[in-house]
Amino acid sequence: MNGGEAIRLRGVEYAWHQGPPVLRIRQFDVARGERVFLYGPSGSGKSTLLGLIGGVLQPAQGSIEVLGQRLETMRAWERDRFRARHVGFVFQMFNLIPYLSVIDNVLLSTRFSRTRRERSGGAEAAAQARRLLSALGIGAGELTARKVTQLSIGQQQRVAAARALIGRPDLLVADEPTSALDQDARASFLDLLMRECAASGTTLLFVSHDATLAARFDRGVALSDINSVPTATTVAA
Amino acid sequence: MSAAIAGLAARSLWNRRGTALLTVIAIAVSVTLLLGVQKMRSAARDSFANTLSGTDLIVGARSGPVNLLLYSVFRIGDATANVSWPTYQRVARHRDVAWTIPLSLGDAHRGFRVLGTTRAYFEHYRYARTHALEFAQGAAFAELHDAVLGAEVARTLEYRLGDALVIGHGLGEVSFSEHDDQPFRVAGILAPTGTPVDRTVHVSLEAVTAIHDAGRPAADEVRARDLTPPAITAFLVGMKSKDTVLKMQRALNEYPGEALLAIIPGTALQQLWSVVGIADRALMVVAAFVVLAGLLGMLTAILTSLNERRREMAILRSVGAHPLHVFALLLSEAGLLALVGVLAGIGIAYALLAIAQPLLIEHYGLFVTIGGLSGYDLGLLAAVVVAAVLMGLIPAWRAYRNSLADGLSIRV
Repeated sequence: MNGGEAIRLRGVEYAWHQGPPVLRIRQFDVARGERVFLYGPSGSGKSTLLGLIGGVLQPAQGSIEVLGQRLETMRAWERDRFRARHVGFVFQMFNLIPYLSVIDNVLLSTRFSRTRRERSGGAEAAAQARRLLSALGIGAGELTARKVTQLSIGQQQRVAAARALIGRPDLLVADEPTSALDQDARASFLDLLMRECAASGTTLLFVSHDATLAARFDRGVALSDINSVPTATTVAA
Repeated sequence: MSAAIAGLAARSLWNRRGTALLTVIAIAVSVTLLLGVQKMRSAARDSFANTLSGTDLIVGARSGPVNLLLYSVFRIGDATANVSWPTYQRVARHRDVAWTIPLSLGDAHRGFRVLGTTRAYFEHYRYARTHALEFAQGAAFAELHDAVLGAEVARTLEYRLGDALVIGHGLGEVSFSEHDDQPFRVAGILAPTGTPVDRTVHVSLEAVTAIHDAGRPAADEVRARDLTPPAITAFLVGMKSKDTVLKMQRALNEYPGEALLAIIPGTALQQLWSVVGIADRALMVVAAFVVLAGLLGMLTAILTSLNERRREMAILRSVGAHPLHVFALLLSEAGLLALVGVLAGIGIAYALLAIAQPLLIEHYGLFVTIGGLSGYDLGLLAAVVVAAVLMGLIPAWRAYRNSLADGLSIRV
């Protein structure tokens, strides 16, 4: 996985089912280790872009390189394996599987990739998950909570971050992870996320409609600047 | 990976254990019914085939084989003609014949058939392959007016040893011509056999002749008379060697002096079962439909859970699950529900059998072997699980399509 940018999009176009394109990105790059803030209000094609980078959606045109690998040439299975191995996701809310314990939710990322499992210490993955959780401020009390649904939203987001970070993925994609949090929780969550990404050398792509957060990142990009399809069209689609 | 998916499926079900339990119970109950019907029909078939054993030929006046079997063994219907005593004597004395049991039917006692026979009946009659008739109380008839009761007769009419009973002519519950001048005494009561023997009143052949004697002399007088019957209804034959059975059968069927019919019990029983057995096949079909209903309940439960679980599928996709993993997850859930349901059903079925077995023997003489599951049973149970997995293809396919369309977008 040497060489290449963390993310490199060239002439990417995406359309749902033969409709008009909802996303047309001539160029978008994220360097390795970079922490990028992507500003995108809802309806700006944000989810589509994340789906493309996650390898869940296929572009109609153009190339999507993640960590030097061309996603659009891979088979569906390979893209899923690639995502499992290299990319961590944190969503706005409801990140956790309700029937799994806190630890098992974190370890879920290691179940679909041997690399992630080995990198998280193999048999000692649970111990590593606990270390990661405690670094993210989830103490023993929350760990023994019988259901993850009994945790506060802030705690749930930290567990989700631990799941995205375990096994040191190369890229972490966070989609509005702080929108459901209050002001204080938002700041402390962001601090923790930044610190852990730095510690594991993980590239961070942070997407939000809250432009005030941009100052804390290496670089800020507005989706409307790189997407040549006007937002109005996107909303209609 | 597949173990991980099965583990996820198990925990997902555990999380929804309320509905999962109901689904399992529905499947378990249907499997219990299926196994119960299966055990009962094999018990019924065995019991039927075991009604008469050890007898090589049944001989009566010429009619149909099923008719002869019905009146001679099952005490159902009547003979159209009799076999004359001299003919019976000729067969009984034949050098290849080991034993014969004469049967004389036509009378009844309070709804139960009366059978005139000899002590050979208690000696040679066999059922359930090798079981001989056993006396629960008393012994075979010694005196002219002794009667031996089948287990059900004694239980239903609450007779004890030494009780007096009156035999009526004809078969009705209420007889208009009762031979009440010659009361019988209960000399023996047989142990339950699960065969028509239980519903029979046995008396000696001479007693039948005596009560039908036109002059109707007093009880003391008849003992002095010649009570050799002029004819009997049918008789059972045991041959010295099995090799001579077919030859004897042919000889009897072509007997010049009298129109006789000799049948081999096993063959005739099979013929009769092919008619009677339709009922038990119908039961099996009903049980199969109940299983289908149980599985449809499972299908409904899984399908209704799909929409609220789209978020869960998106999370799985985000950590690297392929849509086929989602497919496998749903399929495993169906398989697990069915497997647990089947195992619980087996447990319930065996528990019920253990409770019911003594009652069935006592009240119906029906011996249900508890034993292991036969290959056929296992095949049926495997078919239930396979059917469940096949049904699971429907929600699995829908979840697969959903997760392809949803991708990572989390719908609330």
